[in-house]
Amino acid sequence: MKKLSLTLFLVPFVLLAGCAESIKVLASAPEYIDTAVNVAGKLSKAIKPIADEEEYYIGRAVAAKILSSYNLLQDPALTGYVNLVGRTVALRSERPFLYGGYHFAVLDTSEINAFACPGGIIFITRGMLEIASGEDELAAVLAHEIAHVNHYDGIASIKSARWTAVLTAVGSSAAKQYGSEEVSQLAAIFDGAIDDVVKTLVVKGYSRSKEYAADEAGRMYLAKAGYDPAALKEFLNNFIRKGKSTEGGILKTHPATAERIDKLMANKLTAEKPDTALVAFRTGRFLAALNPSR
Amino acid sequence: MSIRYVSLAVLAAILCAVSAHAETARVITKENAIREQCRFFAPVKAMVRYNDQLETTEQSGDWFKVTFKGLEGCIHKTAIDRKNISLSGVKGTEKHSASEAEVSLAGKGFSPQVEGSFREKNPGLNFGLVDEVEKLSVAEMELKGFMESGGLRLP
Repeated sequence: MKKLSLTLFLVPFVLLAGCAESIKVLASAPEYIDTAVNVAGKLSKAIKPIADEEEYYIGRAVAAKILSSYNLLQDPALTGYVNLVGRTVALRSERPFLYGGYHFAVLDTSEINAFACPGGIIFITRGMLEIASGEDELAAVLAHEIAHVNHYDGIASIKSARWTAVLTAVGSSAAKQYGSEEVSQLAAIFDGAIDDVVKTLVVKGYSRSKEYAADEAGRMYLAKAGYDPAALKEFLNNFIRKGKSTEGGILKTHPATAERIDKLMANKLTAEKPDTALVAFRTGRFLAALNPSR
Repeated sequence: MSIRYVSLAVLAAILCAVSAHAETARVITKENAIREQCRFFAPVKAMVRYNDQLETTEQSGDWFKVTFKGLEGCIHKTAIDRKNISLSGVKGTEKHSASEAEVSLAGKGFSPQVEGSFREKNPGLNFGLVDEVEKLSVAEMELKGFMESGGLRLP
């Protein structure tokens, strides 16, 4: 009895002294169990084998590569407006906060396209803006691109062997600074990773399933933000109506427009019917931003 | 017998208390805000920067109630990392190969140092333009006003 009382007396002290650390260890236990399996194989399956900070640096380099092929449109008012629309939508995504935040910019080309760099830099071309008939359609295009960032689609296009190479280069070191040899190895891997992403964004495109998933997620963001969730379908219809060429740009890297419309029609989303007066107001400010002389 | 149950109950209560104890988290965005309420656009109590350490006390939807330098407030779940960040300090882990978490937490694969080396090897790439794109900022109140005037829903 005495023994039991003593135990009861001591239990809180023992627990308070050791529990916090034990719980930390227990909480991370699955990670250590995971390490027992083949790391390279696991990394290849992982959607996000890197930190947000690393995703950001990859995105910056991807953006730099894209900007070596396209000019940035120097129109602060229009760029500011596109940022307002994009950030409105991004707040409704799964990742409203990224390491470096979302930044939207317009590429000065008649080509119809948009690019989502990992980490949150999103480009839309002047040609794409000119196809949109209003703010809701612009929001729809940006929502689709934001979904690609949220789904780590760019990061997933990096060959899995590169992650294994990163592991080989840095091991389990948590050092902040590397020696010149390690930096050189990592820069070479980085170069390859950037090429993987740029090729996917500009040449190959994502898989159909990734594109459809981005369409669906984008539609959800629109509905949550109060934009017309049918705006992407309208944009794609516009695209067909305006008889745009099927060569190059977005059509080179995306599934056929009609197929995307069919998919969007098949998955009906219950949402309030948009207020036509508000849509008209938003269309007005879109047109004013696009062509201030109007 | 009853003492046994009492001791088990005490043990369970203490374990619950310990598990509900504040956890350390670190900020994973360049900059973020601790807000008065757990919602976007709520007044800002303090600004935090990358790697700042916070104590999370409670989750409220997509937000965490946190303490930072004695101030209490809320931060969005995507702005922090609640994983144990001192993996190398935990006994018995030294001999494990790197896990995803370690690579991720170390966050050192692709760093400013690596970007610097990449830039040296690719002098034709204009990172100045990327910096220009990143400098585009939208004031919080401007964004709120934009949403309200356009009849959009505030998050």
